Amino acid sequence: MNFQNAQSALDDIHRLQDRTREEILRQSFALPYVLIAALGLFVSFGSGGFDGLWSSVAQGLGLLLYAGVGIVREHRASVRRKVTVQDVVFHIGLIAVLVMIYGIARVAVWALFGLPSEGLLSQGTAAAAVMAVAYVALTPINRRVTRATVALGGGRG
Amino acid sequence: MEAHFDEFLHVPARLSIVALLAPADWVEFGFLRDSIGTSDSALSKQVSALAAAGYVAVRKGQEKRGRRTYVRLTPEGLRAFRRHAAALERIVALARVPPDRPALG
Repeated sequence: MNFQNAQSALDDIHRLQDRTREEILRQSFALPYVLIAALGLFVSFGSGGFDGLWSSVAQGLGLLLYAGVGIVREHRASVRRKVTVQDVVFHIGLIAVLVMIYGIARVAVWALFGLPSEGLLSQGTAAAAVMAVAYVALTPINRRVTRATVALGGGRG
Repeated sequence: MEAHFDEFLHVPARLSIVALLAPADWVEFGFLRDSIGTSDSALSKQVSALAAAGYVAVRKGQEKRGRRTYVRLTPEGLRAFRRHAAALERIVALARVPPDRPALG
C-alpha cells in the first residue's frame, strides 16, 4: 500500500460518507414533508378558535399530521438513522421557540388588528399561521443542527 | 504494512459499502447500489461476503411497494472500518513526514 493508494481510498471514504449524510438531510428536509408538518402545526394551534368538540378534533388532527409526516418520512427513507438525545433536545427547544412565537403573534394580532379570540379569523388562527411560517423559515437552522449531529456520528446503529 | 490494515475490507467495493453505511443506521440496498454504481448481483455478492465476515447485517422489509432490503454495519464492522481508516491515515501521514525527520512511533 503506497501513499497515493491510501490517500485515494481515504478520499473515497469521505466522499461516500458525505453522500450518505447528504441523503439523510435531503430526506429529512424534503419540502413536501416540511410543508405538511407546518400545516399540522397550523391546524393544531389554530384550533383554539373553534368551539369545544371541533377544537379537540382539529387539535388532534393537526398533531396527527405533524407526527404522522415524520413517521411516513422515516418509513420511506432509504437511509435511516436513530433518533439521538441531541435530536430530541433540539426538537423540544424548537417547539418551545415556536410556541413562544405563537404567543407573541397572538398578542401582536390582537393589539394591531383587534382580532377576536374565537372564530375562523381569530387571534389563534392568525398566530398559528405566523407559527407555521416561522417553522418553515427555521428549517435552514434545523437542517444545520441535524447536519452537525450526523457529522458527529449521531444516529448510527 | 500497517498493523490494522484490513486486506479483506480494502477491496474497493467492500470499502465503498462500509463507508456508505458508517454514518447511518439501516441503509437500503438500492441506495448502496446507485451510490456505488454497481449491479444488484455484484453488490449482493459483496454484501454477502461482508455479512459472512460479521461486518454487516441484512434485513428484509415488507412494504406495500415491494420488498426492500436494508443493510447496516454491525459493531464489529464499524470497529474494523474505523481501524482500517485510521491505518490509511497513518500511511498518508507517514508519507508526509520530510525525509530528514525520522517518523515517530
